[in-house]
Amino acid sequence: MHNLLNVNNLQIAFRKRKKSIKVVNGVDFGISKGEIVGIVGESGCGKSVTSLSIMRLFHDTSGEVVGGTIQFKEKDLLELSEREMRRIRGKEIAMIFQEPMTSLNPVMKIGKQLIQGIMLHLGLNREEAKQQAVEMLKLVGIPRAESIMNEYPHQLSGGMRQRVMIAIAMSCEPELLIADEPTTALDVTIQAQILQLMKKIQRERGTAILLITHDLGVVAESCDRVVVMYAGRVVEEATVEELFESPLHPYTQGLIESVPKIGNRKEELYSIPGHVPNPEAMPNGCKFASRCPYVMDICREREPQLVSNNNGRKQRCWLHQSIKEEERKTIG
Amino acid sequence: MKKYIVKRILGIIPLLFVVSFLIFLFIHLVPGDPARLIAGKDADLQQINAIKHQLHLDEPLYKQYIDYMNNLFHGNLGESIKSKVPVSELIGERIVPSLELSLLSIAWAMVIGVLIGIISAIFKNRWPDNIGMITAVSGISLPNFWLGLVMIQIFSVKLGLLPTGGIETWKGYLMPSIALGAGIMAMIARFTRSSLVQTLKEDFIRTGRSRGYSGLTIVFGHALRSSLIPVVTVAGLQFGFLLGGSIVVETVFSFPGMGRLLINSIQMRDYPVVQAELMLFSFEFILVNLIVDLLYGFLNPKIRYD
Repeated sequence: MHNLLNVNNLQIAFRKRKKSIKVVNGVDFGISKGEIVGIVGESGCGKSVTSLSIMRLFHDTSGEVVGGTIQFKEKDLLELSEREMRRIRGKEIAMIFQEPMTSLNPVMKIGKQLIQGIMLHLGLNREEAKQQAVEMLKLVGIPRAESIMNEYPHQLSGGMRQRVMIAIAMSCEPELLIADEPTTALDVTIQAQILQLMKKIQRERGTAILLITHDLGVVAESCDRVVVMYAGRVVEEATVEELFESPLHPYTQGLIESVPKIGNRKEELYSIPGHVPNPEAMPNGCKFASRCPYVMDICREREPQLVSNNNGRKQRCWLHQSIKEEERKTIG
Repeated sequence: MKKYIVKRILGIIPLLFVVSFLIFLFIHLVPGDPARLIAGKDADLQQINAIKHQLHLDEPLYKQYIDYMNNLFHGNLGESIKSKVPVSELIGERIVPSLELSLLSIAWAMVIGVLIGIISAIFKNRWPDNIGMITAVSGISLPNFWLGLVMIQIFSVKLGLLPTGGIETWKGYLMPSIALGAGIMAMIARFTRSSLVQTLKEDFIRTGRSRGYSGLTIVFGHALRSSLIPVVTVAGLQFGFLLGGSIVVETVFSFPGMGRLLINSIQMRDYPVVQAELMLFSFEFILVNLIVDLLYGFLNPKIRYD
């Protein structure tokens, strides 16, 4: 058990023409105070949906949590009323998004966007809230913070806007910051600055961060622990060192293999063959079986469980789980 | 900003020149002869020619135009061919009631229309939305003269609450403004709804929700302002048309406005009155457009005029 957030057996479905399609099925992970946990996986694996479900932000979509629990401190977030949930959003759990260009209100001054939330959650008056806002802008490294308060988002660059987003998210000193692909839309040099900033905030303020990304470089640079997702499931969880040193799940191995390496002059970059299975027609066994180089008979028949070893390392793969010898017939 | 406004206002002058010329041309192209109408059915050619000469209608068109513009620059709009009353006086009597009626109509249509639009957008595809949109479709589909007649039948004839016409008291404005505003209200409701529905899908709305704002704060504090640009555009255009006066509604309610003056003048080929009225409408339209453009800048800070 982790002492801040525990997600257990989370299941999320989307309705499509009266059919319910499960896009997240049995996701488990946790975050302790002050920890940076990464969730990695390719597009469509359910990582963003998982993060939205923690905030219960399925507004205007047909998405819905259909099973599991999301324990935040003592509360199950899925049990709270909308009103109680609003008191958690932005105050105890804050979120930043992938698109800094469109995530700020284009017709509202930066200062007002900051002050609004601060006044709502911290009960400060306008003057105090304004001071807090300026302080937050300084914290995220924005030069001339006072004058930025009177500017509109379109007057700032993408990197600056993401800094403002972080300032807004951090303005009520949340215990958990969910960052959904926070650097994906930014230039590489700006990416590094934003990651540095997030690490600094985690160090100085003890904020736990859930970092959703498809970029293993981002994970390696900033995370303590990594959860790897594939087709709506957690397939592996490990500390960042373990994961890069000895990935257990063939999907993780494939992911690490696909990162281009400096000095490698091969013509083609490595990519995992095949495609992610369609959530409307999920295979019975292991969801990675059709793309796995080590696939066995049992993989196509039964789905392995997420199994944990003594020091908390988890994997969902028959290669590392005891099965009867006769079932272990490899098929090329 | 100030510079922009001055530039726009100065730009109106050449525009009005072109407009005045076109109006002049088209009025004189319309078949029919005021001299013949004034002289009456039994007049002979000599009498008609005498009237024509008196009205300078026998001069070449370009000369008539130059004379007209010359008078215009001296603040003289001429006088009505029919009643010999100065045009400025005729219009002066009519413009205030017309302006009041237009403002009243657009004001209630905007307030109610935007409200219905907001409610419909919030309850998209549920019963409040359905009711709102049925109201809106009705408002667009019901012809305003029909609405006017039905209201007269109910409120004046049956209940005796409101006068059938005239503007002796404020009550005289009620039914005409409802008849005029209904269609506009409906259009504004539809535009507000679709625009707000679109805005509510934006990323920054999700940001707002992720900060724990309530639904009302999201709609009124964050989404509405961005949604109003198309609404302001429609309202501006409709207001422009309203200022032109509504011939049909003014006739139904015997309202002493610009619309009825216009139709009477056109029937009599009363050139100076028609010319002055049409130029005034053009001017009002241009002015409303300028105001709409300035409102854009206020609604969206990205649109700046400097």
